[in-house]
Amino acid sequence: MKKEELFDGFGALEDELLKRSEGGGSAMKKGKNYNKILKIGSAAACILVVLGVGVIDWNNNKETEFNTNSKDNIAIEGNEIVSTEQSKIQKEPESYVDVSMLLASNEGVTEQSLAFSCIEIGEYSAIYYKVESVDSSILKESIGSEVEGTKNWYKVSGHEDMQYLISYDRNEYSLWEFSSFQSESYAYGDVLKFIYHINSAEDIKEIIVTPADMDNTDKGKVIQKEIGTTTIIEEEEIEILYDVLSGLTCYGSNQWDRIGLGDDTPSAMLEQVRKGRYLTMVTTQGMKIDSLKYTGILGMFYEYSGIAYNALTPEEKSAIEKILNIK
Amino acid sequence: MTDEEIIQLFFQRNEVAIKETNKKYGQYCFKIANNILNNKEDSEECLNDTWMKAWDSIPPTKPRHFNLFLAKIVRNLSFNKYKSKHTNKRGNGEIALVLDELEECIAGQSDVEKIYIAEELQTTINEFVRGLPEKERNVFIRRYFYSESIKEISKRYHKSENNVRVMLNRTRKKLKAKLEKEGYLS
Repeated sequence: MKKEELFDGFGALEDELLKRSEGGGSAMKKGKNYNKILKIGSAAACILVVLGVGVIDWNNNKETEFNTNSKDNIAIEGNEIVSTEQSKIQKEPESYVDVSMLLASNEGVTEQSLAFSCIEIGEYSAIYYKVESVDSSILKESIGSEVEGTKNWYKVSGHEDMQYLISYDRNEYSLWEFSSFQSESYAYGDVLKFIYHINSAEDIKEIIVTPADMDNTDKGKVIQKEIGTTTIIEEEEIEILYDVLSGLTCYGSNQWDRIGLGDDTPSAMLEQVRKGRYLTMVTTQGMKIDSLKYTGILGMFYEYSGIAYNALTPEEKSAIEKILNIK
Repeated sequence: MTDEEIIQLFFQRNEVAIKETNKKYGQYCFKIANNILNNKEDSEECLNDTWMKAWDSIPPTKPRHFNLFLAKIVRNLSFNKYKSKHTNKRGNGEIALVLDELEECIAGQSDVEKIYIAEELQTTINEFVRGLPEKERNVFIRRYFYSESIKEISKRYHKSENNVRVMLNRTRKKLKAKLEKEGYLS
């Protein structure tokens, strides 16, 4: 055997193995105390409420923060400088930064990264992937408190949730979005609680429901149009959805075998559109969680990248499909 | 645009698929090609060949992980180009180091070359890599699939370069033992 042949032999490594190697980044200390996170989060929430700090206009915010930096003449050279800035920020109430303003679509940036990173959060290793974002200098002005136990991982300013985090590495700030926990199975309720900071149905303002779009042929589009977009705002309906979602077991990514979408024949694809719905949960903090999808074919939630959930019981399926208007 | 949407464009034979693939994964695939070829023009050429190969393969193939599907194509094409350009001489860049390291895994085999089936070797390597502890496995993959430098890997996983070298050395020894056991090196 030649060394070239051995190198060729590595060319057919399984996708799952390759995907897992995309991880990296900082690791949090093991045994993190969730209660402490919640206490800090709650304290931050109280400060925000008491001071009446709402969504602050991004331009004003940016200008203010840039001026502050200019005055202090701080240049980004390394982690120590970040810590200095961080300690300064922590002494002041955080301004709420709208994450949508940090996403690249707001600046027409098209560069795409596929970097993944694993951060240990309590008993879980959370997988985050890098998303297209605005310039590093703007992200620098948007960092909130440091995620406990990590080095150079920050929540977005004014946020208690960890749907998006800002990382500082190699003199660059980058934006990362939560994907899943790296575990064979875990309670989705933990994701709602620890990542999205949704502790009850009251934390969900509304749920926007759009038709599934896996078939964009003319026939598929007609069905999508018939289904249309609806917004669930009834407390009772949101409570039912929250109860079901928080009781789900998630099986992590690449679980397409568990997700029964059916085959790719035209008729099956149309059925997938009829029975499929995409959900966007809007929290009372203004965060949008648009990863959840539902298929009535087997009665289960799933996400892109093949994140699978347990199949619903017949009672749950019936209740959910009534709310989502799946006939 | 999501991967599913891009793949759908391929299925519709819409050439925008290639444009969108290049936009979304051009940089990602270029990095893989350039790790092997260490040459901008050659890497770009491989990128174009990768899009063409994807165009020819989808449909009927419907990749589950589009980025990894592309990664395997670009790695294969880049290494073929590397081999054709460096038939009789040692190449430059990271790949030369990677190959030298892999040579350690096959050192000591008899001069009579053993015939083996490439697919079986791939299965053996998959089994071996799957059985490694996670950290060791990831480091090994970054080095021998993606041909990333020791420095890049050390930064990715927040380890010292020396730590990465030691880890790779240890894993190569394990691989050699596995290859011997499976009869590839007799």
